[in-house]
Amino acid sequence: MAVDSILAALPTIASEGLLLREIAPLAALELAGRWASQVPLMLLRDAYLPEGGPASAAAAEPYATHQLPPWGIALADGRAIGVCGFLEWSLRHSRAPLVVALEPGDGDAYLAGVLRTMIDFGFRIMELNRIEAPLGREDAGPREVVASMGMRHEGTLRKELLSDGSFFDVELYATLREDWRGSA
Amino acid sequence: MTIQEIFADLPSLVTERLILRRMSMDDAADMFENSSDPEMTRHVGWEAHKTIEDSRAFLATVVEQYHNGHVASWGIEHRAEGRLIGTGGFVYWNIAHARAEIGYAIGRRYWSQGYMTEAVGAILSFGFQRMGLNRIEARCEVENIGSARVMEKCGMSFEGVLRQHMFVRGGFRDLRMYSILRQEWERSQA
Repeated sequence: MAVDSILAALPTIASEGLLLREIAPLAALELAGRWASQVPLMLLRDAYLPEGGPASAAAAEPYATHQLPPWGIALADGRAIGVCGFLEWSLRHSRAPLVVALEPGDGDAYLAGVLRTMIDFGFRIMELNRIEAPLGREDAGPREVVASMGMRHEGTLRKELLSDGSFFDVELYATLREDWRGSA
Repeated sequence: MTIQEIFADLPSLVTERLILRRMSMDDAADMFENSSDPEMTRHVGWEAHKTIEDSRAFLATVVEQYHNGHVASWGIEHRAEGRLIGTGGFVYWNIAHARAEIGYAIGRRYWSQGYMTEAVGAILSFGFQRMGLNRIEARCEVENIGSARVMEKCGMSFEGVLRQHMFVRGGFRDLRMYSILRQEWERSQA
């Protein structure tokens, strides 16, 4: 699928008993605000709040990225259980971070399925070389799940994010195309 | 504070042996001498300059960044020699999260003499004192031992290897990530 077509219209994906369909960024933020832990929520706000994202930073050309809209995640019965998205797609460096926010409790059970769907989309359709999963130290459960997907913990980015006067570390996980191919 | 407030009138930084100052088109010859050296550019995130026109094009971009008040690097001038020996400064500033990334490169003739450590020290001071940063980060290719050493000598901590993080010079490169936090820098100045 050409880059332009993905940027023009985010595909709807039915996979693992879930339906991922593009939703408005503000709607995604409203849902994420109910469910997301700090680091994923901050990243979603950076990407989708009008005053956030590229407008709050100044970068040289090599860092230019595209922003994909978020997906709403629903079950087969139509119940919304979360949001997810690829943020800051760097075409030049063929990488993107993914963020997932799921309804606590039942929603957590679907994390692995959402990640598998997103990772497959990222490598197969977006043709990424590297997919990152930035998480917070408090995201113990999700960290176990991403690690079980073969994502490797590469390091702790100390005091990477600021919210309400407090700084938060980001635990950076990532998987590479060559790892995904190896597991196919 | 805005990015423009700082970078529209980028001040010079003076150290014992160096002046970090705005670059101009007059620096083209010195820049080309440094940036055309394949050894110098072996591990940088950009292609070596093949002709002086490449250097002029780079300088024209930098001059425009100064004019527009965008994040831009300083030229590093050797005070005694009166010539440009490299570049260094901020390449990315996320004001919302009070963090920025630095980048730097210096001519091979000036390696292993503490010049880059001296320049980076001044850049870090500017970042924490003038830009109000809480985190300054830097990345280098894993094979770039010299650059990693500069980061360590400046008090930066190694955080991890970002695998295949950048595509440059025809391939994906693993990068070492370093950072220094405000509280760490303040302790080092005490």
